[in-house]
Formats: sequence, structure tokens, C-alpha cells
Amino acid sequence: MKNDRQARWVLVSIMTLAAIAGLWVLARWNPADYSFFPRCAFYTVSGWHCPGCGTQRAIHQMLHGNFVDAFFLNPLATLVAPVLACCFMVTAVYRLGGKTGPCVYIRSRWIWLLAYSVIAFWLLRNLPLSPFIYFAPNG
Amino acid sequence: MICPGCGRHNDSTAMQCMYCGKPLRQNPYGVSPVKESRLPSAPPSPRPPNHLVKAILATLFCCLPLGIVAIVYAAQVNAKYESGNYQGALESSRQADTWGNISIILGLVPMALYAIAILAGGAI
Repeated sequence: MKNDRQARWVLVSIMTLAAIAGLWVLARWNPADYSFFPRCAFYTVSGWHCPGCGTQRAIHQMLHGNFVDAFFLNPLATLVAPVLACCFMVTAVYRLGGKTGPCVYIRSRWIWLLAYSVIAFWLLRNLPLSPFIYFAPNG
Repeated sequence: MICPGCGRHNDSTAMQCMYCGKPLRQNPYGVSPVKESRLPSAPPSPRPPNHLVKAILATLFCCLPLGIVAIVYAAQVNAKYESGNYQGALESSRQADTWGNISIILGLVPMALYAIAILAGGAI
């Protein structure tokens, strides 16, 4: 039991440090200006934007407080980022505190909605039509 | 009334037999007491993890359609759990975990190699 608890602390610590390190790199250097950031393999091969294209640049803008710029780089990432941050913290507390911590439950219909939204977003952001060009990464 | 358990006579308003304690079917309010078989015999099964956060991160960072597969399995975990299909939810949970991991590995390994190549190329 004690080893299990220690292992959970180590896991949560490593993931937290990795997240902070990743966010620090994304805040320090703008992915739009530096080439060492990994490029999207799907975009490189096909020339089409994937649902995640623009996420790194959007995170850079969010960490500098520019949420509008982030939204136009990747609206999906900008909208789910606060939810993911909350989920990460709640899950970390749950893992460390055992069964006493809080636990989120998202009903299945909302996850289905998310899945359909991601697929629709993927298709729409590649359309060269007027309202949808704002879904593509606009730096 | 007659107790169906021990056959002894009880007061007609008694909720349970005063001799053997067995619940009597009729009570003064005309509502049957809950049968023991209707009570859950075991505590409800815990909900299997749906690995939704991993699936969303895989979709946003790994640029592969496989992250969407993981999101669909995450939805199935909760849908099957809500309908009482615990074994099905467990199976979908494993699938969501597997597809999230496949998506992350297939997405991040080429990206890491690319970043290393760029950094190494810049150093030379």
C-alpha cells in the first residue's frame, strides 16, 4: 500500500514537472518564429489542417494572455484548454488522495458531442469558404 | 394477519412479524415493504476510466485521426456504464487506453525525431 502511494506521488510529480517544462518552452519561444518546434506530420504530408494544427502557437498566445489570438489559431484547443487544466488538477488530487478526493463524471452524450464536433471542425477548417477560413490557423 | 414465515398470528397493522421479524406484506398504508431480493446484493461496480484527457491531448498534439477513435471509445465507456453494461464499459476503457497510447506514440516519435534533427542541424 505504501509503495503504491509513493508510486502515485512520483507519477503525478513527473507529469506535473513535464507539463510545466513544456508550457515554459512554449511560453519562452513563439512556435510561429522558431523552427525547432515539431511540425504536424498530417499537415506536412497532406497539406490539410488537422484538428490540432495551431495548438502550440495557441498555447503560446494563451500563456501571454492573448486569448483572442489563440482562438483564431485553434478555437478547439482554446476552448478545451481550461477544461483540460481542471481535469488534470482534479485527477492529480484524486490520484494522490485516493477515494477521498473529488471525481468528475462527464455524461456520455457530451463526449459524443465532442467527438462529432472534432470531426466537423476537422472538415470545416479545410474549406476555403468565407466563415470557415477563420477555423484554420490564422497567425 | 398470519405471518407467512412462522404462521403465527400478528396484529393487522404490524409492519413485521413480532415473533420471527419477517416483514409482513401488508402494512397500514397499503404499501408493500421492499422485498429483500430487490435490494442490491453487491455495491455498484466502480466506473472504468475513460481516458478522455489522454484522448483529447492525443487529438490536439499528435495530428492523427486516431485520437478521435480514442474519444469515441471514451464516450462508449460512459454510455455503456450508464446503461448498466459494466463488462462492455470495461472493454471500451481498455480500447480507449490503447488507441490513446498508439496515437501518442505514432504522433510524438516522428515529432521528437524532427525536433532533434532540426536542433542537431542547427548545431553543425
